[in-house]
Amino acid sequence: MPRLSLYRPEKGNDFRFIDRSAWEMFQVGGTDVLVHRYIGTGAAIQGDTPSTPNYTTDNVANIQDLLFLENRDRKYDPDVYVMRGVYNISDIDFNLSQFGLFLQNDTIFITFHITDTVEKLGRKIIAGDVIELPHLKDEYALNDLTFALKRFFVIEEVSRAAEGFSATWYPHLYRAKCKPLVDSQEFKQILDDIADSDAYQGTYNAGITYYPGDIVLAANGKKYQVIQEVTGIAPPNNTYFALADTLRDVVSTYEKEMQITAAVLDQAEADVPRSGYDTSKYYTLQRAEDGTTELATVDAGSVTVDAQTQATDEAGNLLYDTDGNAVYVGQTASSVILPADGDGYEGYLTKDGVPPNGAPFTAGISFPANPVNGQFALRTDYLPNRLFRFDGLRWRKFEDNVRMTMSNLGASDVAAGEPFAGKDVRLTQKSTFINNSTVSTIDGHTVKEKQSLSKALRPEADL
Amino acid sequence: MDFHYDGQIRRYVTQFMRVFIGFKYQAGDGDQRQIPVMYGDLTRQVASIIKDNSENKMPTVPRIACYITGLEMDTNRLSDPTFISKIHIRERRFTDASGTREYTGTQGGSYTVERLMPTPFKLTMKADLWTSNTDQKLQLLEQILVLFNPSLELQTTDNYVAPCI
Repeated sequence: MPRLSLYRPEKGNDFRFIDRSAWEMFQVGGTDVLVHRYIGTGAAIQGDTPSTPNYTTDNVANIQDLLFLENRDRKYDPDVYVMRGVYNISDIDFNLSQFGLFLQNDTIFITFHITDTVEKLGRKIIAGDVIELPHLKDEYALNDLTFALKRFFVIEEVSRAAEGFSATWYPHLYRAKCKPLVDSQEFKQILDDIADSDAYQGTYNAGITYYPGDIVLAANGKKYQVIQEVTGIAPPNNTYFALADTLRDVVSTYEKEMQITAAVLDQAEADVPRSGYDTSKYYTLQRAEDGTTELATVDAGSVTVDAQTQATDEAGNLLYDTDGNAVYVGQTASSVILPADGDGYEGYLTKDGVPPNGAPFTAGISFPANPVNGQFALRTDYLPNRLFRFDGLRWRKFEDNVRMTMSNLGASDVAAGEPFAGKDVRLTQKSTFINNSTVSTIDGHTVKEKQSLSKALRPEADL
Repeated sequence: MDFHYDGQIRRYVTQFMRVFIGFKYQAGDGDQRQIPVMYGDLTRQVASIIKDNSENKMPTVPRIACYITGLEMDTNRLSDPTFISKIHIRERRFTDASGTREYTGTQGGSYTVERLMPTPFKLTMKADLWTSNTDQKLQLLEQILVLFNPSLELQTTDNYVAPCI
């Protein structure tokens, strides 16, 4: 008589019977779990280097950064896999931290059927897979959007579940430790996708009529939502199309947080527009050597109207008064008091490159011709910009504009469509290095003017 | 004493946060993204509004949170509390021509501003950086740390008569 044993060295009929029964239980009693399958790493910001290699094939075993041992830029399968999972639902509370509200006990443990998982995904579930639980959709969030907020988790660990071992001693279940997803670099590909995937109509086709709500892929690679019925007009076109909401727009706090950040910056700039102290609204009296007010006299200069120089603003645009008449620099026929030859308000960072009492000036990279006594010129080819005053014989340095913008913004931050569009770019000596995106051609080679010193003038590879 | 409030510490907090606004990180695909900077001692109610009152809303990473950790009198900088400094200011005359307040090149009012010796305090603030990986943290640090060379000066106003407040 053969020995009685439920354990067999191979997975036999007993195992398969129990496995099918377990699968049936998951189909009956489990909930849908939508899986975004992790497929490998993307390129690193460092490029193809020994510690951050660019892999030619996608493989979940690739490691993006061999120094810090992290996969920062992850690729996910565009297809979504539907599986069944079971987990215990528990009450949750929010913890308030310096970064906002976070769920307490936010980790859930979901069990999956091993065979089902491998059949559908082509491999076992692994850390890095992102799952979505459709039964946790929130239809009543405070947003002004027409669709519900989805609930995402990322799998952190996978092991065999203790309750998944049958009498054959073989396991049937995986237990995945899942944490709520955050809007981070790692999950960029998922969050950059459109929120309303049901409305996606594929690549734009000029022969098709699209209706409001439809989403099409434009030639520039971006996805646009139709806002007005259209045929034969390709996106982008502001009349008929708007950029489609991404998943990030809907489920991430990023937009609101950037609005708050921009409001704080607006307040900071309103309180202190520039470094130093503003004396431009104060009056400086021009005094003669004996201490009395120095009046303009007819013999102070022989100026003809057609020889006068028209004033400009700091950008070099010609100035006119409210009646449309040109504003001239220096002493004019209507001058009563000579323009001040010094600033009456000394102090730390008070020089702003603007003449005292708002006297007109010219701005440019050279001095104007035929100057008259008391005329001001702002040289914008100096850094900081330097204000000169003509004293009848020579252009004398009056002051340097040392009041600088204080927000850490570059040209790319203030461009149209950016969070800080329209604000001033930071102007300091440091920013002239950091914000320099100029590319020069030297001896036939294209050279970026801004380079890290660790990379500048390195030997070229011999090919 | 009658009620008086100028929002001095509020203005310091605002300027402190400004220091960290404008930094970005770059992902591997070349996309650059601004990093939100927010006050770190927020109320539960506003935190709930930011999350759209939903547990499904995802927090953003990276994030910078700034908050106050201390405020104490700086006795080393104490000076004569009875001292009053005076500063004389002549304003430029302004007109309301065509409904716009416009300064002219002529003299307006003259003022003497009296300033009572301020009480020195040391305000300690903290900026917490939350990143999702090491490289991201290093990208941020390399941008932030070069600002402090050797230190960074904050101003809460550009009013000439109040440079010490």
